[in-house]
Amino acid sequence: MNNNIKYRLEFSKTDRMIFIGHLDLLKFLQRTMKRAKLPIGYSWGYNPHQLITFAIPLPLGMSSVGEIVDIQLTQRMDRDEIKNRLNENLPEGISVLQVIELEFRTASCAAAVAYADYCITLYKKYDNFDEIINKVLEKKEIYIERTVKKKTKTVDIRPLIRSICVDNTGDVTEFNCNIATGSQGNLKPEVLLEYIYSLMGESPDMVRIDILRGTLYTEEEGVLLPLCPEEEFM
Amino acid sequence: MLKEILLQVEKPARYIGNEINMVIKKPEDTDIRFAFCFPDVYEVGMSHLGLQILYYFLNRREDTYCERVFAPWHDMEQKMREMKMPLFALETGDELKKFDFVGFTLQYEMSYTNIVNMLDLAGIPIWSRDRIEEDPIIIAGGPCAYNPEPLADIIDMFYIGEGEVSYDRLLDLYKENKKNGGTKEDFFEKALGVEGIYIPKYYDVEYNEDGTIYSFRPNNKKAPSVIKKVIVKDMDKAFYPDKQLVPLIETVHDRVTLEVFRGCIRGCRFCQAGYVYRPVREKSTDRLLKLADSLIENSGHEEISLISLSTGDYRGFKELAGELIDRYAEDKVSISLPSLRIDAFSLELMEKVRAVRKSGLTFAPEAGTQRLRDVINKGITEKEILDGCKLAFDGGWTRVKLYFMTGLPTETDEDLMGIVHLSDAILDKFFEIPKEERKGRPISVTVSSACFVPKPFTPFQWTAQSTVDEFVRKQRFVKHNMTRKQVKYNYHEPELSSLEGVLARGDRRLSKVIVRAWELGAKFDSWSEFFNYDAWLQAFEDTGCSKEFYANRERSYDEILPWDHISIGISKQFFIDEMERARAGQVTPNCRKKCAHCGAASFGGGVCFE
Repeated sequence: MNNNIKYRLEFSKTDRMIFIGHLDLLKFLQRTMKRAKLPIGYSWGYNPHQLITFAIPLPLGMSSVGEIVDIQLTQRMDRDEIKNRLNENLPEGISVLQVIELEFRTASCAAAVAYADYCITLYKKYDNFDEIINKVLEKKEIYIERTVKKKTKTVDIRPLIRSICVDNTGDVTEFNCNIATGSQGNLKPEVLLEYIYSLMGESPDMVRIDILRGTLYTEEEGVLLPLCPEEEFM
Repeated sequence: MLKEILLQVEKPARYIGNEINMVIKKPEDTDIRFAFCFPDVYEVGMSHLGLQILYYFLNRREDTYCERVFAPWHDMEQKMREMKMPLFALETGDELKKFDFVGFTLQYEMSYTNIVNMLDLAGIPIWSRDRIEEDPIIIAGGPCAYNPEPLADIIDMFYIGEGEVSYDRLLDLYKENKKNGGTKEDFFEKALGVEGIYIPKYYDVEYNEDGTIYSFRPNNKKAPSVIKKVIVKDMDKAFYPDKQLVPLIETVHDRVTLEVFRGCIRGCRFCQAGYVYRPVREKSTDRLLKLADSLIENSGHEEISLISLSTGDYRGFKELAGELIDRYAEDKVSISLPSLRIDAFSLELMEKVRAVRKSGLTFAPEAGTQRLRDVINKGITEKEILDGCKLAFDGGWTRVKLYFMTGLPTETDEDLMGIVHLSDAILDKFFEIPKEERKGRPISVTVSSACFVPKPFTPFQWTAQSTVDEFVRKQRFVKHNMTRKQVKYNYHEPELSSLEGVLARGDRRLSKVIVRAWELGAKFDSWSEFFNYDAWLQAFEDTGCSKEFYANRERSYDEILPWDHISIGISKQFFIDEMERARAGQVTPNCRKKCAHCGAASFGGGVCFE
């Protein structure tokens, strides 16, 4: 019988911490739970592991202000207490933004995640960027070639794009997009960038592009809901 | 710019610092900046206990900021050179030239070319004599510093012994000298009065025609003629950090380390560590338990390792291990116990610490016959090994690893055959178990043989090392006779061990060989994918030094050895006596059984006074 309480944590991963890969981050969080002395639950079996579930891995090199993990604690704790204890034990670059308690039956964040916001900053200004994006959004279908396990197949990425908004007011071009993220459909921002650049007859220099992942969403009957909604919306 | 570079290299987290328990200070609020350099890649360096101790030891001083530097992997080095980015410290990202001290830890000889490479990447002149007032002081310590000579022209000053003893004095002197407007030279001269400090430029060497040393004399009145190592007398009173840097990426040893004692009672005649860290000095069980608690609490690690040269020799071992297991079972902290002798008790312990996973058992007989084991004073008998294996097999272990050396003094082909016979005997022990009780589990025996490297401050310091060709023949001989399919035979590259043999017992003429080898492309020599033997051979040729002179020559007892001006507190006569006992196949009992009067009692503590 499992009497654990489920919590959902939203955290940021920025600055130097973007160079930590997913598996290292998992180990890092496990150790942080112990340093923070949270009553973390463990799985049963020969090699018990902490009950921590990630919504979706963040690629190395990408920043985020909307990472989500679900954890199970063996006893109920004040949400602020959880947040504070973790933040006291986290280095610069990772901090817990909010904690919510979940009903035990709530689908795990990994199963629920469907869309993500990304804010993408390019390294120069493209004056006609609005037009390019309008062209993208006007299309009914966008077929691109993707190679998965050495097999090349053609996929339509248009249904995976919900919105793209351009901000061309600064020194360099920036845009926000909301794209499918998760097991039900996934569009990597790099793939979208490759496509956009191909329309401009260029290929992107990925190491000079900043990608910031924002809020992760679940979808219920066509409506997007943040995976970790702020308190007033609960 | 750094971000762009980091996105293009393997494991960028090697270069970002920001680990748990990293010390953050404002450099401008401190008087002394110390760059602790480990001349190998991050994951190796971060697993090193000495770094963890000295990092917090130096940083406990408010006036000092100790930061860390590792050898950048080749992909990073290439990017740094392209972008003209100098080598930097992880904490502040500042380049090494801004530091007062750049300190290298000398853990293995084959890291020396990395030291040269790191100095070069930092834009610091490689030769000590070329450095100017504004350059940092290059200091080095660690086990290889007991023969500092091969690096004598590169390193400004060596620290001989344990860091906790003299660093405060040295740094105080430095600060005072700086405040009074003194020069680097003024500081060096003052440092001659600090115990354990050796500054090579204050000594002159003259050579005989045959290349051996004719004389080794101070050229400065203040320079002591013998530099005696400094060691901590009371381990309970000595500084030990209550926390540890927790890396953000996986390292070689990903765990907290609890140092149980220093030194070793055993006196294996090939083992430098067994002599240079004498005498054995233990921490009390109380102190260890307290440290264990705080280390685990402050790190969140899931594993704690009890380390020393031979942890089973700790007098309070049963109590300590039992208590730790009980204490941490609930918190899912596992306990790792390296360097244990296999007996009923240790097996029972291992059963407890590794609830299910039956990892391999390791034995280090080192030599194949009892005769040769007596020569090297490895006090383990064939019966003990076989009994240990029997116990282990009955307990469900089926993987056995055996460590041997080839090229030991007095070794014959019969001793090499002994390696084969011992592995076979272990297999036979397994097959003695009735088939139905084996439950279909396959047995695997892995035999590894290293190439013996004679080291300074051991009874074998005078002996000739086998040549590369001899090593190859010996390895082939063992391999040829190792016919059972359940036995896997691995062996080390003799070329690497041969160079290690040169550097271990080298004199200061080797500095130019090291630098030349580096110029020819040698670095990360201990990594097989980088090891460039040809560069080294070329370096010997270009500098007119003979590799054989250093590696394969037997020395006489009256020859002046390059490290004779360093004292580890053990008399030369003791080593001579031990060498003679080795030749006669006589074993010397361990320190607790019977004092051998090696001289280590002069330190006034430890096992000598138990």
